[in-house]
Amino acid sequence: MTRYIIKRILILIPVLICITIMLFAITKIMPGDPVRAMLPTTLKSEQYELAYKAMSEKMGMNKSLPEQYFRWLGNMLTGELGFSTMYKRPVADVIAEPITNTVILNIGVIIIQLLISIPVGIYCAVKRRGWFDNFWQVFSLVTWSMPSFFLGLCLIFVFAVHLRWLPLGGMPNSALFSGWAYVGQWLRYLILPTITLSLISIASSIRIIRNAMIDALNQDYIRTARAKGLREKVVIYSHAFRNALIPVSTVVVGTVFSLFAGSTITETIFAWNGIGKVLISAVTGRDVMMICSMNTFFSLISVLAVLVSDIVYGLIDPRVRLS
Amino acid sequence: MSNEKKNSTAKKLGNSFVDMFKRLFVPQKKQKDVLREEALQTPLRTILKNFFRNKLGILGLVMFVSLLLFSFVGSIIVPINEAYMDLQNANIRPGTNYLNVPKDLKGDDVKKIASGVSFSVALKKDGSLVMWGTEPNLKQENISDYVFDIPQEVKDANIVDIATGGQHVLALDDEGNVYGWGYYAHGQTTIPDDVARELESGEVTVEGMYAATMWSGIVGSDKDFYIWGPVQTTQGFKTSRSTRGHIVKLASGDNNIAVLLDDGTITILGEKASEYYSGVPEELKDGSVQVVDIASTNRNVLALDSEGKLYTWGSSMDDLLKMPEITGKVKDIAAGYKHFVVLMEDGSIVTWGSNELNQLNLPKNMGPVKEIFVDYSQNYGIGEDGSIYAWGNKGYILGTDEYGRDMLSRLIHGGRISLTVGFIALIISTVIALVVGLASGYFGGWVDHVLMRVADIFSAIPFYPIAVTLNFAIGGALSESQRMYLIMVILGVLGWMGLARLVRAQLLVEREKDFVLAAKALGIRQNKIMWRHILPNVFNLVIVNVTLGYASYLLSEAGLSFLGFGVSAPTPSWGNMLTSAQDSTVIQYYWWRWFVPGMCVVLSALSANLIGDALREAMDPRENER
Repeated sequence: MTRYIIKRILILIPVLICITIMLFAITKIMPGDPVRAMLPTTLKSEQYELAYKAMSEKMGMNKSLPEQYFRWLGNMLTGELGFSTMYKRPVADVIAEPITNTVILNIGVIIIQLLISIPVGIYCAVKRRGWFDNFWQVFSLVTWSMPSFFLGLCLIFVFAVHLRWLPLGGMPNSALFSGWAYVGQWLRYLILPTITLSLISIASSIRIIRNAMIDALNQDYIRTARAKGLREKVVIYSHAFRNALIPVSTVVVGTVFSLFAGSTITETIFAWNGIGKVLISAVTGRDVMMICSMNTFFSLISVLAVLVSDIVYGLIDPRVRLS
Repeated sequence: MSNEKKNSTAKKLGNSFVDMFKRLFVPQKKQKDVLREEALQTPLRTILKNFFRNKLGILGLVMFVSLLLFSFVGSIIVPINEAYMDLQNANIRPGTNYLNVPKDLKGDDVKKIASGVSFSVALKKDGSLVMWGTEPNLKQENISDYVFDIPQEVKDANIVDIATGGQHVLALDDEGNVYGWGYYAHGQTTIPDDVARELESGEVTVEGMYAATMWSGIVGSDKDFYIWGPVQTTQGFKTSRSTRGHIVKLASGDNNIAVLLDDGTITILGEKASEYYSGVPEELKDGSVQVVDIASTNRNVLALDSEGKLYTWGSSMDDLLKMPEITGKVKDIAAGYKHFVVLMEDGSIVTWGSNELNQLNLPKNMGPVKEIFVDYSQNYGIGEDGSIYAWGNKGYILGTDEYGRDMLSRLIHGGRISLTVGFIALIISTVIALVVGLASGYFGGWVDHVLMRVADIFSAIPFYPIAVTLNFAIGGALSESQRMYLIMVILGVLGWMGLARLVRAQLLVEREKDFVLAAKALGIRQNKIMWRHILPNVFNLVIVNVTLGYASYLLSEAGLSFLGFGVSAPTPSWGNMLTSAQDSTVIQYYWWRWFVPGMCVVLSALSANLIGDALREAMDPRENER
């Protein structure tokens, strides 16, 4: 297993190098002069020129592109993410809180997604073409065709605007609440974005689990298990589902990580202070260093996703490890 | 239990009845014999047969075709002016009844008709009011009440005069009281206390009432002008003291007022920088001609002198200065927000100005007219036979957006853009996916290895963040249409990996199958095996995934445009029509502005998914098993 994991990580290295080069290229084609952004605008012209030279020396802007690339890579690895022009603080400080918020939101979504889609998917496969299955098929088809922002708007319209049960969006004011009351408020703000993201991710994972289960149930070993006189529960849960897990796990891990990038829109609608929203406001605020760091974070997450899904695949299916 | 039984018996009975009717009236399919049932048919035919057996697939197909017709044929029928803007008509809810004059309203009973942006009020000779059209207001605290909620005291009073602003109404009763209702954010509907006191004491009676979008005013019997509304506007209008005590009649735009004085000259109040202010012909100012009537659009004035000659000046926009040659005697002049109407003595009508809202399209069956009432973009003519002719803006089927643009036409053209962008992105990604997938599967070895690593790299790119960033980094320097191409390329280039992997995997699977071995054994060339025997089996998969992929491109385009990084305004797309819905007021009050385009995105994606699903089922050999 260790050998397998090491092999996977080694394969990822060229991928990582290419992605970092691409991210570096993006920082280079960004409009605006990064040196100028670091300088105070109050300087007089001669002073400014001197300061400009000094600063570009300090930032390594006068070196060759490969040198700049390695310098940039080193900075990224050591957490030197640069300085946010919008927040007037180092990027690393600014993004700590949004990252936590996004992670919390997405973990909630993942838990709900798995809790609902696994049992529903299994049941749909077992009672195929029944009304329960038909309902979830239609449900998943419709939510799968829904843009997350439209679903979010509909939820806001019903639960926040008309019923007034939940807040429209945003984050609770930490000055108004303290202790458990703050946590309670926080959860209230979390509900609608979580539901939006969950509904959309449930839609795809139910279909995947159902199809994988149907395939598994059609296998010969299921017939054998039934012929042995095993109880139906045992047949379904230990024989069929374990085998269905192989395709399911990779896809579920994949969707889990794609959630992070996908939550950009949902966070924007609900004004949830996560990295997606921070990215959008950084782009509108032309905060170049922020944009680059956000992209690095998102790419890191996706590379991790590839790695984790490979490892999970290996864990579940011994055949993958050996080949 | 017995109930259940009864049900099932009833069902059986019902079924047998249905069977009987079917046998009697529905042409029977011939029972196929075993040989024909088992006869071979081409795979394509099987697929088509299976597809058309699937009700959901048919539903998807019908939905998709109707959306295509709606956007592409619609775009040809309904033209769009993307730069069009008309803040007057912003945020009006759906309704096409602006000109639906109640049937029981007779022309001879009408004393006056006044219109706002989307409604009209008729004052009958018996002192009662009749209203029709679409409510322009929302009930919002400290901002507005419904125009259609006529206050009880107005209903009880004997009304002698009315005036309408864009979204509010003023009424004057026979005791000299002025009532106002509707939109009141600037205090348009409440008469200031000092004016009310003067009116109450009987020193001054109301000679004429005027209302514009933001303000209301009266001209009193002391030939003075009282105005209320937003401070900056009313201050601008009050400056000229020399005219006080001489005012006979007003005509108003939003920022200027033309005042007709008792010596037959004209003075302009308000914004000094406009042609409205500076363009007044000299002879109208020095008293060498006697003006008897004035009318004003938002930016232009039309004046009639005692000789029957017309003068016009103001902004050159909307063809308002292009007054047609008028021969004959003028009976009355009137103006809407962007057009002029002149009634001639013989009952005919001359009209010019903007025709964006059909203001100039006179009804075909119109006879001679004795009176005209024009306001905003609605026109009413009372015929000599007592009938009421109505022309102008009928309304908007799907309402208007924040700039007063018709939602329906934007939806049609937005659909064209959204469907096209998605389609071209789809083509780009499918071509890349096919090339990469086929090369990978066909050549194998290091080509396969390199290409799959490239696919890995592309899959590690987070879609929305990178799309947004690229749009920011490159998009700034591009023109609007180039940005649209950029979106297509971004969508296409970031979306081919899944299909490429599928194609490669399928190719590998097919390559190992027995029929390939058989073909090889027959001595068929490698190339031919590839093209004639393997690829057709891969293409089934491609077609299904391309159809499903189209749905996801539609969603991605909508998402990007929604964030403001896709198709950029003013070019409409279903996604960017929703951008303004990030504001909670829009979600709360203007449902038609986000729900309708949102539903279009959902329906288009749903139809593509339904078709894709049905295709997959139709192509799945397991579905053909018995």
